[in-house]
Amino acid sequence: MFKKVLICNRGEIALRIIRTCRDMGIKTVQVYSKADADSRPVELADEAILIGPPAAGRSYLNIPAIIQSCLMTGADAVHPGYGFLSQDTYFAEICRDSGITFIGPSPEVMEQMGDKSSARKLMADAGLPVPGGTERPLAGYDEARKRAEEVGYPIILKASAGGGGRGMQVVWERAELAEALENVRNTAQAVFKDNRVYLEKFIRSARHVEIQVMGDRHGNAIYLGERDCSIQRRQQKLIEESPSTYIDDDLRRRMGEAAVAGARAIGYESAGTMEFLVDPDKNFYFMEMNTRIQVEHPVTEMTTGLDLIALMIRVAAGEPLPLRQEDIRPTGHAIECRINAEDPAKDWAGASGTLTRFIPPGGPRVRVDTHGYSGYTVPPYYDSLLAKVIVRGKDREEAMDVMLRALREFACDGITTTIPFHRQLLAHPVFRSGEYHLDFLEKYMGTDGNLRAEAAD
Amino acid sequence: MADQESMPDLATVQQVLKEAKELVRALEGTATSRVRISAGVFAIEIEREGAPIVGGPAGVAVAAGGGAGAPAATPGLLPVLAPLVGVFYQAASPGAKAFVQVGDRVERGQVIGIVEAMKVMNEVTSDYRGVVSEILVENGEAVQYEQRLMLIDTSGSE
Repeated sequence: MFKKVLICNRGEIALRIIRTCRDMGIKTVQVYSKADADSRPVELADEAILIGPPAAGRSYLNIPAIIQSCLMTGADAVHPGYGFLSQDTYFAEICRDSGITFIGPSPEVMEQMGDKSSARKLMADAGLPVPGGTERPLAGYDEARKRAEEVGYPIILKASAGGGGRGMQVVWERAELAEALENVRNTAQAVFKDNRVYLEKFIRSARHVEIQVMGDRHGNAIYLGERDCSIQRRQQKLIEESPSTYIDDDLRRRMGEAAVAGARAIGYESAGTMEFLVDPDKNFYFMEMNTRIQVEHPVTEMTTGLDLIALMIRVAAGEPLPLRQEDIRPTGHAIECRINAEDPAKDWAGASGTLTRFIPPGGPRVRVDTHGYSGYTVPPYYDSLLAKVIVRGKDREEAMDVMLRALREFACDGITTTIPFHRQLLAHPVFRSGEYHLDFLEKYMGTDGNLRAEAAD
Repeated sequence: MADQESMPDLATVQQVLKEAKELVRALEGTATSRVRISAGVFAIEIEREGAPIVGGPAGVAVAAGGGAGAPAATPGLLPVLAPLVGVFYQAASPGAKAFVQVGDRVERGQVIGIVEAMKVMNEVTSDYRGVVSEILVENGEAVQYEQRLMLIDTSGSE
């Protein structure tokens, strides 16, 4: 087992990793930027090293400074969390070359799955269902038009190198195709330095249901149930839950087995997530794989009773998975609300400032992962995620009520957050019914940032 | 939008900026390195690099809560900070003569040491003209970003 793990991330996930390391008797090193000097991870890690100014490019993405910090402190592994360097193939390679274990999949697998078109092909070859279309890059408008007609509108254009919800556009009819192709291609070139774009059938009225998988270096792979993340704004998840109200046990098993087949096909040896869309006819389609721990992993921890960060660390150290598929028996219902420092009334603009009062909820069936505290100043440089409230109930009804109780308790003054939004969401009749799709916010959210009971036209 | 009302108008912003500039001038030569003023939604933060400091305990160890040192009170004593994380060396190679020693006069831009990171040698230069008053880290010691390496006495230099 590792003696010392260096955490090259910040905020709640850094704290989350420090906690598990402490439980496992592993020392921690927290690297940080000048903007995070007063943060909880810096205070709680065994050692902390200031590595650069606030700009992420010179701190949390500063590979030489991070590797140097490992060498200086004797850290034998790094945990990248999510975002920042968590899916950076180059960083994973340098870690390996420097004799430091990157807690995640191999750089080869990360590269294969990081490219959307390559991932689509590999998973299709492994027998996973993918939407109609092909991952071959489009040569130009004429080819796009021809292929769009073959699969039938609506279609979605995707940048091969895209990610994080960027570099994608739905095209409802031929008249919109030329402009959309131009848009996606320009974004792809500007953001990802790669102008390859492909198209596939757009799955309408879909739900986003993802499967948590875990693999090791000994050829074992299991699935740990699903998370339904269908309430999104611009491809960003706001609330996640498990189990999904949209799938039955048979579909759950088939999706889980497909996810494991995909993970085995690429020799996946860490925690990962296979994202699927499920259509109203209960067909499911592979979308992409996230080759890292995800923000919403506590949902799965609440239903399975497992510590996913601990499992990730164990398999990265070469241990075999301590669990077989039949040992995984999720129970109850878990929901996570992402409390972001954002203002829904201002198109979700990020907010920064000082938390004049910050009292997270507690009590039975409630878990809060946060780096916030009264007096903490949320810096303007990074992700807006401030806290995750995760609850558990015997069923969805009870979980929603516990969440409402928790959100009512949550006192957070000084900056605007999504707490009021979540209070409205948990009380919304359509959300409570479980009968909604990915377009929920488009239908039910007004420009004032409030939810309304009736759908807009 | 409702929040527009609580935003200060342009004239107020300009007035605050003018006063902030005067405040920065007033801080010259004092021990203050950081000031934060807030009024409603409006906040100004002034952080001054190289605020005068006392010698105090040498260097910040690579340990929890490290970082830039606390401000204090000797005017004219200014720190040279590490430009990056790495290992500090006083000389270009083992056995070579040290770039500078206590008591040496340094010019602005003069190399006073190197910080090695990932086998790359990065020169550290003095931001000030003056006399090396104290060297705060050992040769071969690991340093953090912006850790104080040396103090330069600028009181005799104009």
